[in-house]
Amino acid sequence: MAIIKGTVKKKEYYIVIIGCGRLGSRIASLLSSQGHSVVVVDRDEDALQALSYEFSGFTILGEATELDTLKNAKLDKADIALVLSPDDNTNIMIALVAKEYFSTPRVIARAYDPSNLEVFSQFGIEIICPTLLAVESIKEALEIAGDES
Amino acid sequence: MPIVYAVDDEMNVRRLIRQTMESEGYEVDTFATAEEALEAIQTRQPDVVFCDITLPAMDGIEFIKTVNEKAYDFRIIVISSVTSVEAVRSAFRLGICDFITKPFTPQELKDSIEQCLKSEESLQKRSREIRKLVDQKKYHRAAQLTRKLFFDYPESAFPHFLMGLVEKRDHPKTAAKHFRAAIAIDDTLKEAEAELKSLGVE
Amino acid sequence: MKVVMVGGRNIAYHLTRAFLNKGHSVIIVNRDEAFCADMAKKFRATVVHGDGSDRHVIEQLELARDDLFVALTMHDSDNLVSCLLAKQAFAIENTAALVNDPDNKEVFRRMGIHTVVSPTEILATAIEDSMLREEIVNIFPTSDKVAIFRVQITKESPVLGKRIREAEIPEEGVIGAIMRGTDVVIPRGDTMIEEQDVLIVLMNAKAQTRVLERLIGEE
Repeated sequence: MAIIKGTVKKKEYYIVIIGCGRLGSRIASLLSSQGHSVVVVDRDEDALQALSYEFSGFTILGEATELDTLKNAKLDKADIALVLSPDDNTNIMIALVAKEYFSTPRVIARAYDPSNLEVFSQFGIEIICPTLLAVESIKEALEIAGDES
Repeated sequence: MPIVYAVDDEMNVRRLIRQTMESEGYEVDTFATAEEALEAIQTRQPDVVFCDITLPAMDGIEFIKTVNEKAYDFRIIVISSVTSVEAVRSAFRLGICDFITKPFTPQELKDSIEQCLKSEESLQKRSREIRKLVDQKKYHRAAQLTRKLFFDYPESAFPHFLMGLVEKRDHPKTAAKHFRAAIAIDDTLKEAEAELKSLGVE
Repeated sequence: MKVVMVGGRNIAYHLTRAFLNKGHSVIIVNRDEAFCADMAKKFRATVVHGDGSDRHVIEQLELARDDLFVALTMHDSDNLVSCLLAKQAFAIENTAALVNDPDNKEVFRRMGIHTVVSPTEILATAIEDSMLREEIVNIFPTSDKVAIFRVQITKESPVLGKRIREAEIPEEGVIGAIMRGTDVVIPRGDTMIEEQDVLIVLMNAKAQTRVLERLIGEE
């Protein structure tokens, strides 16, 4: 079982995933198939239903912006929180709640807008910016093409 | 090596419990229904059973009551998404060792089983010992152990029932009080009702 | 001192009026173009059409440490982000935010937002109080140290007709002022407590029950 870096070494982790869209559901299936205990939180029942057959974890229907929902997901006991809702600012707020209120060791949030990245990394939350990642990938793809010509 | 059984109708719960417990070195067997678990228990008794409350046919509470009636020895840890105070209280009154809510973390499973295996012998075992002492007319010692039982299981009907047995010969009125208390807590205790009748009081 | 207001409509409007009247300069930041145009017409304030949770918008505001930054949008997450950006960019100490979900108050405070107001909570407290006993009104949301109540003295009150120094009021409470009709009486030891008096009482939060019981009797 792959050990997740940056956390206390364990055999299985308790991971809370906020947001069950395309990204959330795929990561959820991947992590649960690796043997971790995964909880997925989403406000939309259909999104939770759409989780692939391979997903073998828990689901919670609720608003992740509400403390009660996060308490139900036992975020205080989580090793890792992945905050993947469609809205940047919501993700940042939930990530800060996870870090400051629930003291989750590792918190990763998705934010599409690169502007606010640096400001929030100082709070100890890791931000994944799909926009920047895409920029890097495209740069790489173009450079390779450039070299060949 | 301690033997662990898990009873839950959800496959991923069984999988998670199996995984975590096996990595701790326990031998694990899982069941989707209470009936199958009871069958297996007859052939081989486990040391701890994790069980859910909502199950297909026989539910978790029935399962625990059946285990108590047959005076099995193992500890029971309930794992459930039902978290109402009533459900938790009624489970603890039946003498379970711990109650874990879903979703649960691997660490919660480990902590719980550690506590349960560590703590004193099950309610059932102690009850049996007390009854043996009563049969041997060792009332003083029986009363001592029963008093400790009250302390450890304040919400359970059993200490009352046992105290009734202890006091029956010399203090029938006190015994009747205890039997009545036991029935008040758990009205399915047929033995307590029978004892009360045999004392000639209602 | 400049006052920045991000988001909100009616609240931003009325606050702008209030602050301008007090002589402060006001900067309004709002995503709604029509609202911005309207505010620009009505007030002598700087109006910025933009997203207050966007770092670039905030950074262009040129604020100073002692300016006041207020986030009033309907979304707690946007308010949190705006305030944190303002703190980061200009080291602003006095940030204020509207919080819709009362549970988030704690979170905002921990993140260093100076003033956090939850309208829901204020309303809930007010409504609860009105349902309790009419003689007591909780003036201040009780902190864990001090509680301030407005207490009406009725016929049943144990301290009616007594002088303050004879009234045996527990030492954890003190009567700050007495509203008698249209007058305000600052109480001394020999002040007599009369029916219909409204006492403003400060008390140690932990001793509330004792103090209130002495003033109005048991429930």
